[in-house]
Amino acid sequence: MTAAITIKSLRKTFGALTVLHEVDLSIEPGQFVVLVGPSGCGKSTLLDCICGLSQPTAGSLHFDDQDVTNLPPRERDIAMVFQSYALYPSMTVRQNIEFGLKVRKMPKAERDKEVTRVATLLKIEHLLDRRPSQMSGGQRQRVAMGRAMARRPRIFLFDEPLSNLDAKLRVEMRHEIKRMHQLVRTTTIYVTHDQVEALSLADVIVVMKEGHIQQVGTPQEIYDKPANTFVASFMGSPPMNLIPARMKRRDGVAGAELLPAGGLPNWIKLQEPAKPIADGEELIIGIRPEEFHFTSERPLLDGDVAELTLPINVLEPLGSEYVFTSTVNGAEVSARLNAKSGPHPDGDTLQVLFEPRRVCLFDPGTSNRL
Amino acid sequence: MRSLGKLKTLLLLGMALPAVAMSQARAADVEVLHWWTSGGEAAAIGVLKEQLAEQGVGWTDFAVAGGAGSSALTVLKSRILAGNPPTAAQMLAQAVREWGQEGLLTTLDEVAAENDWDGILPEAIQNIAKFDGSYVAVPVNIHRSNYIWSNSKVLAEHGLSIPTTWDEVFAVGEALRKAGVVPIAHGGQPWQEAMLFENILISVDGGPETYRRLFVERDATAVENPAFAEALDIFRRLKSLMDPNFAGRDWNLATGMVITGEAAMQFMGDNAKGEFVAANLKPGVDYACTPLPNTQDDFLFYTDSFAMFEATNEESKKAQQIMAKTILEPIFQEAFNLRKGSIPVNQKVSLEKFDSCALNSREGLEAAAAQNTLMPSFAISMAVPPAVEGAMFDALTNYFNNDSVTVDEVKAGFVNALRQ
Amino acid sequence: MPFANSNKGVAATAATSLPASTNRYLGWSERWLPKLSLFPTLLVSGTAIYVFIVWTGVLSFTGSRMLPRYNFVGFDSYRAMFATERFGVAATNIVIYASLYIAISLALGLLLAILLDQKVRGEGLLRMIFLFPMSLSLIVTGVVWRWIFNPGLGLEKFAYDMGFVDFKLDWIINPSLAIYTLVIAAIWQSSGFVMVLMLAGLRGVDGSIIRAAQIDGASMPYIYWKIVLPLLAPVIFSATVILGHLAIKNFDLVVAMTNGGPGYATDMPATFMYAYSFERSQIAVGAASSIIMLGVATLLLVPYLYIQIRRGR
Ligand SMILES: Nc1ncnc2c1ncn2[C@@H]1O[C@H](COP(=O)(O)OP(=O)(O)O)[C@@H](O)[C@H]1O
Ligand SMILES: [Mg+2]
Repeated sequence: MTAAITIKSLRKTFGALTVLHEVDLSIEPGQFVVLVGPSGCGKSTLLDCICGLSQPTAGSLHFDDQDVTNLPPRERDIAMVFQSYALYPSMTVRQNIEFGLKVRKMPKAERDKEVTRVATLLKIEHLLDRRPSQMSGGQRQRVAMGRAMARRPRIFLFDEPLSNLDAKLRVEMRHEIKRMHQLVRTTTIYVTHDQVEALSLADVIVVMKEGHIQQVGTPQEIYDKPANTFVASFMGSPPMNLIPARMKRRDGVAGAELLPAGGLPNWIKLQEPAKPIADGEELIIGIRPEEFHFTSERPLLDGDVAELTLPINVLEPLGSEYVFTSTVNGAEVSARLNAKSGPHPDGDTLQVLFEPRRVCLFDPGTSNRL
Repeated sequence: MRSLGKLKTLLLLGMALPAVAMSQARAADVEVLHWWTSGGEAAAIGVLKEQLAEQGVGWTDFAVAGGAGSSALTVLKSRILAGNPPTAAQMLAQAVREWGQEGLLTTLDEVAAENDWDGILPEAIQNIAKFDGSYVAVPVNIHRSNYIWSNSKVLAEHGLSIPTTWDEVFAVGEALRKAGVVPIAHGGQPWQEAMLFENILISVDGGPETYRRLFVERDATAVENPAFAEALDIFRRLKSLMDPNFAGRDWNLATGMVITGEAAMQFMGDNAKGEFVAANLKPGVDYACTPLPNTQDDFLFYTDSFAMFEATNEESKKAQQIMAKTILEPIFQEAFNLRKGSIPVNQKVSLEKFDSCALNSREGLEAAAAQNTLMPSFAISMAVPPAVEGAMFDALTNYFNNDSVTVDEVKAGFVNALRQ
Repeated sequence: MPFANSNKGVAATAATSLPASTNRYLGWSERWLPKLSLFPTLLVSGTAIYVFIVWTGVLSFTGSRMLPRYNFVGFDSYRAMFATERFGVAATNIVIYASLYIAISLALGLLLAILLDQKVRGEGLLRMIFLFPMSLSLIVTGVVWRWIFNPGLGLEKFAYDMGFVDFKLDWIINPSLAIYTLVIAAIWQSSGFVMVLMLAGLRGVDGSIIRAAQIDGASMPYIYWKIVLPLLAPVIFSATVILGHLAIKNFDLVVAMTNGGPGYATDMPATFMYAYSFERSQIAVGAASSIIMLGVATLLLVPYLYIQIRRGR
């Protein structure tokens, strides 16, 4: 019913252009894996290789123990939902859902049962006799999902299924997809370039860039411990602040100086990086915007707490929070503060707190995590 | 009617503009519609132009090539509908009849009387130049339809001579075919097939009489004469002596096959002679013109003629008369017919400059006139109205090209055609 | 936003809102000038088309022969026309010709379009090559194919010279097969055009639909048959209408290729009309055949117009 996927050294080239470089990935049965990455990084190409619409240039692909590298799509027992829904325009919803079953020569009675089951599940019973052109985007998306589910495939593939929907529907459908997955527990690979979708849906997130996998991990791992500055800045909104600095130990304790624009240098303690770094060497300090706090939140914070007075460049009150930008060590820094914890900041500067242990360090040369 | 005609003129402005320009020509000019545009023909019409110029009559050429005159006819109709006819137009006999019926032609009786046309034209030809007993057209030449054109060298090479009976035709043809020569060059167009048939018809026993009844008197019962069926039989059998590629072939291409020796013979009127002349071949030496078997003293003729449209002013009328007179004068008759390959229609013109084929034609003409077998060619629109002719062509060409068509079907077709 | 950055947008909106609200503020000339300036065109095309249709219709009920005459004789010329065997041949021929020509051109054009849609190299060049015949005049096409089919010049001779002495291709001189040579030549001429239409249609089909069907397990032929073809219905419909009217109008090709022969085995309504009106001095019969052609063409066009009008609403 549901399968593990093992991708080994998969490479895909179009002529001189290498779109996927040596991709290795293992997915456990029933996992919901989200592939994220900027547009053009090869996500769809990887999906195409998995579903068999496209032949890998090198490498292998297994579903459980079965080598499917050279199988045509119809023998792979997978289903896919497309960004454009890809419903068959000349067929009704019922015919769309049945199509795969009919091709597989399932008897009519069973087909009807299956259509009913899927339609009930997705609440589209009333749409069965409509044609795709007579439905809204959200309804079409449901039908597309229904069509994929009707065949009870061992793997679901989604290629940016929600990109054509408006923000509200997107949230709704996101929940729907999550609900369906929890219901059927079929291995799913879901492609998106939207990091919120990725974080909210995934058991495992795979971050890709230019045909290379950057990091594989749970949403929390990806969020808290990005493998490099690319992952750090790609996941999270606003992205993680990356501040250039130099290692400056005090009494053997690792630390660095932060200099807010127009303010005074401020030494903060850092965790000793795994890789030894000499004093005076450059590094990049990564702080998520939401790690900044009003001073009034001090009691909520553990251990060391660093304090900074930041000049305010732009301030946006967003109701539940304030977002403002500032400049530290010449880099733009943004901060999100809980609006309940402090008064509306009205001066030129604002005093904020953060926990140095929640700071990430990166190597400016390789941009990898230290 | 008239206003519609005017409207059409306006709409067909492209065509009307040159026409308007032409109608501005000097009063004593003649504007002549004709389809003599190929080399020899154009030279021949040039002679008439010169002759008229000497008498102070200007010439406005209105040549419309194509379709053996059918394009010219179409243009002529639109000119007539526009109320702007040319001074004169080249016409075949049946067209003269039709335009005469429309009452648009002017009588030439005065010039005819002055120049004794009754005395210089054969009677059969007077008949087609007249409508309601008045001359309305000037005949220019006489062509003979019932000729075989043969390549003398090819026949000599295979030790064969020109056939004089149908049995000989098939025997000679068979021998040629075995030798790899196309015995008969044929052009697969309805009129050429009709021409072949009409000549076969007058060559069989009782043929001339059947021909006269059928095509001159339009007596449909003549199809029951045995000659009709016999002619059809020979007609279809001749196909075995033709190459398979004749469909749609133009007559001059078929003549070309005889000239090059690819084929030995062609059954065609003496318009073919022009092609031999143009190829610098000598009659009696390189090629021969022989009447079809048994038709030495019979003569199916076709003539070109010019009909004159009713002119509105005296000067144009004068010009018309001068043109009519000039056409039948010996100088033009000789010059024109030498170039065209036909013989003079004016019987008083001497043939001393003409070749043996022309002499043969004149001889045949006199003999035929004497025994009343000088008859108009139906294949060249001399004998029956276009509607009848078309229906007859249909019947013949269908019979010739489709072996499943029976003689009775052709008879029925002819009977039907004569009802048109 | 659209108003702020686009003057054109503003102008267009203003213009479209004019007729309803501001018309009555316009002077007489503004209101009538457009109509007035269209008038000559309308008049000319109106007379050139409709007046002559009516005139032709009137003529078909007269006894006109060489020139139009207005002695009305009722349906005589229709009777005469249906009585000629030749009209029967022409009518049969147009049915054979039109149905084969349309069906095969569509099928071939579709097939070529599908093949060309498989991301082949040099697609632009191939498209040009296939479209090229359409740019030839039918006269040229007819002459070329006449040579090709001529047993003594074309393919048969070629095969003979190559040593295949038994190869026969004499359709063009065979009265019962000659019509098919016209069909072949006409298909050669238009299938590239159909291909381009179909290709445009195929390009409009969302590729992910085909991919979805592939994943659903359908074979490519099944996908094209069940999913793509229904999507091309509007294109096929337009192509059919275009081919249909080309078929009915067919005149030049016949004249150039067989001139109606052998005999009149390849006569068509258009050549029939021409022969009777202009060569045989039976204008009334020619007019009658024109009216019949017009009637048939109208019957074929009515569904098209109906759909166009419905779509326009
Ligand atoms: N069929 C193809 N031929 C050539 N290049 C392709 C093809 N398909 C995709 N590419 C290229 O591969 C790269 C990755 O594309 P894709 O996988 O669609 O990216 P995305 O991550 O946005 O889904 C892009 O640069 C794209 O141009
Ligand atoms: Mg993509």
